[in-house]
Amino acid sequence: MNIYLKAVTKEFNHQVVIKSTTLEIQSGRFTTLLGPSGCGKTTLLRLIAGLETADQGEIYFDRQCMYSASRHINVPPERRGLGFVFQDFALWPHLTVFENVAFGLRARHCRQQLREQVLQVLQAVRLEDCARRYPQQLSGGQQQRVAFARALVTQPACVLFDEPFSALDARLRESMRLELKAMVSRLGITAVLVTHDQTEAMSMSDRIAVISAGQIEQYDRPEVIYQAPLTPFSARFVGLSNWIDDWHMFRPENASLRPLAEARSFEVTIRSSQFLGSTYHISTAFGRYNWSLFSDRRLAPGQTCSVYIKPQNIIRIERGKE
Amino acid sequence: MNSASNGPAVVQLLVKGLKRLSRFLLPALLIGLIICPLLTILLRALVRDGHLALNQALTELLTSQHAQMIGNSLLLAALVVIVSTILAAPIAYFMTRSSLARHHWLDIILLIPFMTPPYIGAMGWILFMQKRGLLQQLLPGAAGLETCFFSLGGLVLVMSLHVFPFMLTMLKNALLNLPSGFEEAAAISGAGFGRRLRKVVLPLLSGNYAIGALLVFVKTLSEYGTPATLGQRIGFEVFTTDIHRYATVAPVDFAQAANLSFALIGICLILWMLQSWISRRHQYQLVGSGVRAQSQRGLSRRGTVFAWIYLSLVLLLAIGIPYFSILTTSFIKLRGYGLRAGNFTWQHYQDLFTANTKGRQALINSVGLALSSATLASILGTAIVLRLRRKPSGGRVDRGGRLLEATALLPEMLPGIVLVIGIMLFWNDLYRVIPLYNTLGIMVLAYTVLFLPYSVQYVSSAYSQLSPSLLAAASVAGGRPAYVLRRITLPLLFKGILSGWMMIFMIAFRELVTASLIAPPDTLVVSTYILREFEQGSVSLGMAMAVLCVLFTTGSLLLLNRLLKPAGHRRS
Repeated sequence: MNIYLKAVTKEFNHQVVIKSTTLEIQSGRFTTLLGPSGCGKTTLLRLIAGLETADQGEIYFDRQCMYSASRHINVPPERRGLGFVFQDFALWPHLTVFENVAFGLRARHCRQQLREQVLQVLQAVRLEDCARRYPQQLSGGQQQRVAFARALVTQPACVLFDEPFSALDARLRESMRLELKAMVSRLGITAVLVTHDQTEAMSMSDRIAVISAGQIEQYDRPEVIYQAPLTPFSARFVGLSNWIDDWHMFRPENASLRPLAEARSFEVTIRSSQFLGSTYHISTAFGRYNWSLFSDRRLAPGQTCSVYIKPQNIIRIERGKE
Repeated sequence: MNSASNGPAVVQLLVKGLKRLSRFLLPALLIGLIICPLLTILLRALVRDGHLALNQALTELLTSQHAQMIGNSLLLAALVVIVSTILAAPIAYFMTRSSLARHHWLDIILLIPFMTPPYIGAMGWILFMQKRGLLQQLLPGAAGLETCFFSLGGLVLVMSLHVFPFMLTMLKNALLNLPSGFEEAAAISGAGFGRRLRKVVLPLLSGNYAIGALLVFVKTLSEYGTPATLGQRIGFEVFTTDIHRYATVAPVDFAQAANLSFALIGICLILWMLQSWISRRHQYQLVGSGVRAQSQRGLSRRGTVFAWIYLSLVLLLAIGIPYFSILTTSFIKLRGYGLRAGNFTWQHYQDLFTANTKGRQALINSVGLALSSATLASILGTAIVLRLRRKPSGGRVDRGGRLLEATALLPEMLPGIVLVIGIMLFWNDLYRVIPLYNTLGIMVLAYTVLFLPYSVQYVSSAYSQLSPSLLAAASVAGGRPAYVLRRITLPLLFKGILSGWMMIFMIAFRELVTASLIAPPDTLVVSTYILREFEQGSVSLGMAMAVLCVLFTTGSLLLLNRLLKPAGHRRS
């Protein structure tokens, strides 16, 4: 299902949260809205779901208008037919796992083969044995999977995920990430994920929309966003960026501490070395900028050394200044 | 560094001695003040002529007259629960799920009915609805409506209008604590408004609602003011009025009063047990990271209009009508002439102070009683809380402490009238040893006992907001316990203590049932003055006093609130 936002805006208490935003989320793709907290990414997701009402603009699902300020159309969330996974899961504590999942089917009066459908989706998330338990009797990862199952059971064309991994610990987060991605790919549904975690965004997405202060800074494939950021914000928010001046930067892995042919060289001062296991993370000073570099050995603070970068690896930021 | 820690050995010995004494002093005080009166009720109810007379007590309870009264009480309480739910539930929903939530002044307005003494509210309604009352003067066509009002229905309405803010607060907080995700998830799953309410919101609120309903039930059973004014007019006897009659109207029968009190205690205890069972069983640990701000997508325009109309209607009934009646009556020159230009005067307010000394004396008595009982109860309550949370338990309450706390909170769990009867009987028996009965002293004592729970609760909640590390830091920095108490604990608890003091002052100032049972002959306080003037004297004079009473209590409340504010800022 294609989702099309056209010049959508939103204010809370006279504070602009979403500046006029146009965005097309393509069918079958995994799209991520990435940005720091407070940038409006969750609001954007809630506008799509109908949990908030935009002030202006239009929202289309395929050809169907879900919201239009000018035409006074506003389809309530219960009739938008989406799946939604909440940040805190929002599993109803008075219902069993089975009833939590069955809720959407019952609300749509799909009584035929309800049991089979629920058990099938519970099986898909490997929770068929927990059907009779209550949410609070499950672990964090299990609760997460119930939330998936609940979002998937009505076979929506699109599922929205609002920071679904933030309530999980680091290790669990990684495995759930793989599991979720695999399931979404298998079912071929459109997925929209909101996160502030760039690793999460890069590893899962087909498209990333980098959002800052209620505005989309860049909307592209993860590789393009990393290798060719359009704005200083994109460059800074996704990956480590080392700035040569206000318009030129490079990624740490493209720099070498050994001389390279046809490379430009820069003199830097070492500030500290951190051992990360596979490599050393070297923090250095270049004029008023801090650079992060990788090295295979520890370097003493205060020492100066040369950094070599091939000209094609120096990225020029085309658009605007922060 | 300070006098307490470096004082001479004598002082230290004295402190140690006091501490040892205080270990027994507090429990002894509470036993004397609370447990003994209750035991006296038990003895008077069950022991007749030196014999245990269980059967006799039971048969007396089941006489047709008493059975009718008990039935009346339970029926009234159940109906008040239902009507106050109807009044409160929609408003609770509007005030958490619609644009009404933005109007914080509504929270304060909606507390007014609860803060109005119930007997004053009831009098307002009586003046409005009675034959040739204010309603019929305004709308002559309303003649005949009084028969509808002076009935069980009217009594239920007036009592519900007093108690519904309580239910409202319970429901509102429960709704606010319900993470908005629960309803949003249901909406996304395709559930419309009705289904969300039925399948998600109501089941999740049922535990809180049951607790609120039981509290309202007990409060209604314990209420004396409204049954004594409106209930008497329609001959509707309930526990409190019956107990009051046995204890005051000749032929006085203390055995019967004790017997009924005992039955009322039993019913309340059962209800409290039920309540604690429900709250243990029905509290959902709300899954998820916590409470998020409620989204106020809320109501459509039509829904919002309806919400405002509903709210205005309830406020008109709960505040508008009683206050309109009280105010106009207090200003009216001749009640026979009715509401007419030129028929208004300040005379009644002047008469309060000049006609005779009764009104002035009643005011002085009430202020004195409120000041002394608020102060005593605050000292005692603070001492109890400090004893509860003392080291080495590290702020946790040990078993002895829990027993002490439960005893101190008993007066709030039991109907006030029951405890007052107990105090009457106990101190009457003790008269030869300590001649306190029939003096103002016994009133101070009864008020202190009755309102002690407020102080304990306010100070306790202030203490629980105190981080234990604050006190630990003071000890580590070298402060002896007495010094830490003086310089750290008490200053930090001050706001809580003062809030409790304020609350007690306000409630004690207008207290009715204790004063009407236990006041020495010819001693009037504000509440008994109002009641007497309303029933047999000048109604306008009574209402002028009622207006003063409300103004005085709200005024002092606002003033102290004002004084407290800067202290709060300094602390944060």
